[in-house]
Amino acid sequence: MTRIQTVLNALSTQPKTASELMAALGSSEAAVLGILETLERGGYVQQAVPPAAAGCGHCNLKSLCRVADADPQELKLHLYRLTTRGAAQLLVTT
Amino acid sequence: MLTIPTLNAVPPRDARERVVLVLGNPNVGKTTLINALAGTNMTVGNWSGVTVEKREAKVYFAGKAIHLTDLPGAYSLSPNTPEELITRTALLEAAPDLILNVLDAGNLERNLYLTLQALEFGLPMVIALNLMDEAADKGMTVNAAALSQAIGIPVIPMVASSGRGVKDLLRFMAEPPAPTQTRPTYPLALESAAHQLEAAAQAFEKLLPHTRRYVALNLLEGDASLRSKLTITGHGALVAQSDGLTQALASTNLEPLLELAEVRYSEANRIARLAIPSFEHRRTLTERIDRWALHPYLGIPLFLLSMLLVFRLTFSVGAPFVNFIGGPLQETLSGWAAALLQPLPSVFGALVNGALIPGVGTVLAFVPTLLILYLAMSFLEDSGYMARAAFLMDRTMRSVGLDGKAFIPMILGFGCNVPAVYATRTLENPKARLITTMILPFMSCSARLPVYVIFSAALFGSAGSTVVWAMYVLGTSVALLFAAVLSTRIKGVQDIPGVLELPPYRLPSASVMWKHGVNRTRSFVRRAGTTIATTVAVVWLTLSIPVSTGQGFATVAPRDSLFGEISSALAPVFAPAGFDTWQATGALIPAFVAKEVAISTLGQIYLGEQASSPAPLTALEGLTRLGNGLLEALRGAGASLLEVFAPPSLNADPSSERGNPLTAALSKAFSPAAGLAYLVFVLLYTPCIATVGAIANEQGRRIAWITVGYQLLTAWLLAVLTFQIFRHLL
Repeated sequence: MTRIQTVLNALSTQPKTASELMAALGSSEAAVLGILETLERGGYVQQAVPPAAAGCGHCNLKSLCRVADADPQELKLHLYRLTTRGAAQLLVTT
Repeated sequence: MLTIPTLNAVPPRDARERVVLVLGNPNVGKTTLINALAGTNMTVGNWSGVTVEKREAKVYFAGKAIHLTDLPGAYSLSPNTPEELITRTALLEAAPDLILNVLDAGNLERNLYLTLQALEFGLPMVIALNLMDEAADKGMTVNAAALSQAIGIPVIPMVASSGRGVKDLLRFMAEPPAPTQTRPTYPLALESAAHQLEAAAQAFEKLLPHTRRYVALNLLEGDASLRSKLTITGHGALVAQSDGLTQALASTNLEPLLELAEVRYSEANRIARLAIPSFEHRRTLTERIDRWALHPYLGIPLFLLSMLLVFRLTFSVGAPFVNFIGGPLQETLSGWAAALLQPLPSVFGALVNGALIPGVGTVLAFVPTLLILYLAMSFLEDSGYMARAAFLMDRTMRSVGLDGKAFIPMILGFGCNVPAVYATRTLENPKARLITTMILPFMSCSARLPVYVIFSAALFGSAGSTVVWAMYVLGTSVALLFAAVLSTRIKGVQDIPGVLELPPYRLPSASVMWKHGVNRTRSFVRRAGTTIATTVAVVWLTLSIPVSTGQGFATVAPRDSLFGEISSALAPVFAPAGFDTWQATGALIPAFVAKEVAISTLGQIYLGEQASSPAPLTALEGLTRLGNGLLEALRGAGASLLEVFAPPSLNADPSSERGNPLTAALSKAFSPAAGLAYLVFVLLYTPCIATVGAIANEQGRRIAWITVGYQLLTAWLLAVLTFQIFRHLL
């Protein structure tokens, strides 16, 4: 499995952070973040910005929270999830 | 000053001049390097029309004038940010003698992606392998020779801040190496498409020859900014051809963006492994702190101690301001209002001075307290410590049938129960979600804090902060106890252990902490101006309606009002808990709307009567009173800072804290044991209507009603138990 496939596959179950993907790729967190940013640019993944109903407002712990209604600039853990395009790409390549 | 030429108008250059573009990821020390290279000769120039500053410098070495251009930091040459766009534009439009690529030796894999893209230009290139000292601190031994061999270009190990490697670099700048032929190799179909575009680009004279391969690859990648730039500058045919090639590749399930990224990231990983064959992991600051913070035996006591310090800080430093706002400020406002409202019918004076100022004002008196609490919590959360608290609680949570992840909504509940209930969505297991939702209302939200603070100040003196802290511990303990009971009663699959993310520690930014603190406090103030003001008005109305005949509206004694009659009828229920007065019971009823309403109602009841006819004050009299009060509060807060670290006192010494009229009234109305029981009841009974609504949203109305029921029962039972135990001790 290629590196990109590994990332898409890992994100297919639930949103993950770069550091959660580190072990699967054997890369540094910064390098994984680079891959995620490239995939985001291509529309294959997106930052997990969940429903506004969560109403977390300015809560700092939203960085720990997988449903946080967060400003992506403030998200410290940068959760990523697969987009429809990413899911389709995963189907094509596996 | 060097100007970057546009299109292919590259002027002929003097043989004694060298143009060097300095390229690198953000924060790799490019500017430090240029300072080290150019010393005092450096000049800074602004290009019009851009928001990012590009720097240039001129340095003379070995008879050559070297023009250095410090390009903005970029992670890639497929621009995602304005900085990357400027950097890419410079590479497309300039014809440098050398690309100086600065890399962070400790972050090689990420940095190499840009290097591999820059290689596509086929220009002379040198790598400045900077921050070698920091890499060594991380335990990395970076082999510059192996890196040079893998990429095929010279690599100079450097520590720019100390000048190490600078001379070697200058030599390469004066006499650049030959252009490298090393480039990443892509799948055959992609290479073929790129070759076709490169060939087509030859017909466009405005495109500099060294940019053709890069342009071809980025067009295939779908680089939107490059497409528009080329279209505008008369290269539409090239863009159209790239579209045709991309479609042909897509029909064979080949996505150029993914293929190019795959090759570059794999290559970056491979080269980084060659350059750093071994990595002796050194302990980071985070690991050193975690040795204590996550200690199996000391971790939880340290967490409890840190929370005690937070509450002592909140209580000690906030109390003088509570007294100031609840005392001199409210008295002054009442005096001014009395002067202003004198010409109007007395009912207006009664509403403002008998309800709004003592009711809303009493709640607003806690703004400084909450601001301090929110700032302290922000510090713990932003620093990464709160995530450790969840980790620490993992074992305890498992013993009650949940896991550490469930503690995160519980910590959120310290702020407000409503978002905490919604945060249970993070839990994948429906059983864990249900149990956590049902125990969350026991977590002490910030709306309950004003009640604790005012009662603690009135009844427990210097032991007040310990009482406040004990409320938080009690709330959490009751929540865990209920979780243990519920997990044996509710059927469901066993939860799969989850992964808890522990972010590295960092010193929170003061401005971010302030922003978070102010935003949270603002929402409290907003509630005071809306929900609480409305409730205060309703309470005032019911306090003004006489039940028996013979008394007029707004002139009735509070005990004989509608509110007083209803409260008196319910009061005997609380006789075993020691607070069976109509005032104490009455304050609990509207607090179903929001817990801090208990305080505003007590303020209305105890202070409303005496404040409804205050002596009018002139502006000067009021300002003098305010000035003196504020000075006293500031002096008190300064003196209280030392109390934060004093050994905890368990002696109830109410005589020391009597600055606020409400605390004085409460100290007469409640015995310490009854006050403690009252706090336990406030802590444990239904938090507010909004939380009940959130539970109904998430788990249905039946669960919401069950939660309300067992909370009321638990609150009553524990309040009675508290009073019966402490009536003989306090």
